[in-house]
Amino acid sequence: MAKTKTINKIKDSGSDRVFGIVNGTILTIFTLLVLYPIYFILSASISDPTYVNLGETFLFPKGINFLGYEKLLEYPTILRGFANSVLYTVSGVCIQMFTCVTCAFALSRKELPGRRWLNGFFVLTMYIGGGLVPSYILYRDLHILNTIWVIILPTALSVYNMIVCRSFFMSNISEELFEATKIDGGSYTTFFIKVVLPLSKAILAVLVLYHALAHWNNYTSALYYLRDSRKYPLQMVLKGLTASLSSDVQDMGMDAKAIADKIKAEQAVRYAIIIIGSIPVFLMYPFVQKYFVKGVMVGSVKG
Amino acid sequence: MAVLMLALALTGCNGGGNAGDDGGFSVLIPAESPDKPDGLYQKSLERLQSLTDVPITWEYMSDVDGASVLKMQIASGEFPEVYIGGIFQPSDISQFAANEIIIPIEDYINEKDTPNIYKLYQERPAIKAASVAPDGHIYTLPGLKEDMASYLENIMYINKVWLDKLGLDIPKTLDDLKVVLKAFKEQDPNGNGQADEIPLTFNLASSSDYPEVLLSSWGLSTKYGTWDSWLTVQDGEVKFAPVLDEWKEMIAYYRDLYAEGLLDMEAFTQTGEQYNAKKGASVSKIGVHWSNANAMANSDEYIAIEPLSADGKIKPAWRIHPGYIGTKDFMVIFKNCRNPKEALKWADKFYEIDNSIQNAFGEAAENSTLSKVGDNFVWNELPEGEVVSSYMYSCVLTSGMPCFLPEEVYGSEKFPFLPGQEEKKAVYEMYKPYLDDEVWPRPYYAVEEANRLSELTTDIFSLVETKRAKWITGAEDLESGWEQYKADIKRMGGDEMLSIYQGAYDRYQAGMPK
Repeated sequence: MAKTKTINKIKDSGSDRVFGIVNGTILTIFTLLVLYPIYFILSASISDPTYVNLGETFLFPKGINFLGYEKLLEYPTILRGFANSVLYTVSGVCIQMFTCVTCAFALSRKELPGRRWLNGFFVLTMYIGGGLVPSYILYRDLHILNTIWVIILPTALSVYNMIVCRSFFMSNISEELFEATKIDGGSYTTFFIKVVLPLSKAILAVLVLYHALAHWNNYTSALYYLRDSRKYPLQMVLKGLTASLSSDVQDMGMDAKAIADKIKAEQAVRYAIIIIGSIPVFLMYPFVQKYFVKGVMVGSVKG
Repeated sequence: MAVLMLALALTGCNGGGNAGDDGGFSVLIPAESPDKPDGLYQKSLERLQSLTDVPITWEYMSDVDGASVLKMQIASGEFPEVYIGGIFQPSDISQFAANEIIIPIEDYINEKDTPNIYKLYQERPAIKAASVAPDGHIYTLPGLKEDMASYLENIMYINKVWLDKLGLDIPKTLDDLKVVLKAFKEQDPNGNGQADEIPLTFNLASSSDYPEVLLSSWGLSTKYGTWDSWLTVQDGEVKFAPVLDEWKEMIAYYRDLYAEGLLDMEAFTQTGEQYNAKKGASVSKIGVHWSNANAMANSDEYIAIEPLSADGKIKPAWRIHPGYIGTKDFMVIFKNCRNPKEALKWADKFYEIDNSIQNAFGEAAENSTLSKVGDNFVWNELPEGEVVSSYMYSCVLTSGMPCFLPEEVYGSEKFPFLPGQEEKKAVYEMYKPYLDDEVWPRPYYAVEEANRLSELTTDIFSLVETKRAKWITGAEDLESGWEQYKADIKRMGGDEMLSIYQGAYDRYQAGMPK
């Protein structure tokens, strides 16, 4: 008996080990696949563009230089765009988080009158939008065109994220907690601030990330609704820069060497643009990461 | 666009907000930024304001995706009064005209009020003919830069060092070329011991290095794409080059090169960047290519050669970009303009030579592309790493300003050549005898014509491209597939497509003096 058991045990742990190795290998390959493009861009941004295009920077950067970054930082509009983007993202996310979480909390309470109707109303806006021209006319008549408000107000509530948040509240914040709060003499506000929010750090972190990403990458509303280039966010500045880079540099019988150099420099700038544009996102992930792991699984009601 | 126009109908046109009539007008320019460095913009605005006595109100918009932004504003009922800049397509102009939101200007053009435009129309009937919209009116003011050498988009370059090393002559015919390419491939002319030479390559993504250039050897000139649609004109008749026998012969020639490894294996798959990297390699790799400038890492190894003849008897017909006729749509006047007459009197001054030069190449100033010394212009030393052809975009108010720079001005005392421009001019002289005198002029289409064309050409063009690649690489047999291919294009509406093009061309020709 004992013998068989031992054999079984060894067998089990053997298959566990195999599973671990296979699992680890697959995940490692997958991670590398995801990381490689980022690594490639990074290495391309500090390599000589000629080698990049000949495919010689497959593994390591070659002809290392920082020409792309130097050129890029020479544009005075970059820093201003960066500052604008930070402003839009921070203020936009504050507004969005406030509307999103409060709205989700209210809709997660079953005793809310007209809850079904309200839910339907919110979902409806996900299917039907005004369209570009009517939106433009609306913002114009609201006199928010060409101001910060046209960037952050129209997206003040993301219905999709609100629904995600509401579902989280409904499935993770148990009714007993609310009863406990009530017994202790707490109101809805106390419950929301003292109980719900601290228990929802994980979803809050994820939502901040979602909202911030959307704001950081937002380009169209700046394109259509901002006229003053001093208010452009980074993405718009970068887009303008790439457009001006690709304009025909060769159209007058010009010094051939100079043109070849110019084309080279512009390719370097293009890679640098991608890196500069994504730095804040890279920086944000590690901070949010710990909430992905923590939080969700930690229950508050035992048994 | 249809959506936008529907919205236009729904919202009605209440016009831009212009308060009262001060005798002036407002001008919208797609300028990246009014606070660009160095005060050049301010200088431009001051110069332009000084051309008229009435006050001008300036409005700006981004030049990034400018056309779609402006079209959205127009659809929401917000018009500029006068618009200057090069972001509209001819199809936009046709659309605006059909909706009557821009006004015809021909009635304002006369000897007294607008002497320069009047004279321009007399001296350059081609640009007047090109400016006439399908409804018979003129809505736009043109820009003309007659730097003829810059419209030579393709120049055939060959590696002279390799030729000399292998003791070969400059090829004159396509057969000669093949011999040369073979030697390039087999005899290691770059001397690095590797067979890494690419005898011939082209770039499908480029506006100058495309494969159809070789069709010139059979006496036809054409170009792919939205504007030129592989059309070629012979004695007033518009033809679709990809169904002509010459096209078949060209494909067969490429196919043979490809089979022998003389054509770049990556020719159909490479990106523009990869192509440029090949040209930029420190040890020359490319034997023959055609570009609009000798932009190579080892450009001194390459020389321009005359067009080749298919068989030694046919006279090559080299293509020149129709831009030399002028670009027709650099300024339009919208219907709510308070003083169109004043606006045109003002714009007329753009065609004076000093204004033209500054409109097109940069405001005269120390930190600009050029300065003015006395009556003449001189080119400035540029910041390091800059070239005039791109730096000038930050020195002009906006690219696409009306101007008239006649051919004789270039290289004159008033407006000297840039370094390199003279060399290009010499190459141009070499190609001049071969230039095709019937160029597809990119005429106007009526709205319904443009819509129909975009339906028809989508499928036809993709068939042409697919077959071209398959035949050349040998994936399909050219001989057995050719008749079927011609029949397919006919079935897909090839004749209708051609008749629309012919109609547009005939309208253009009707405006030309006999």
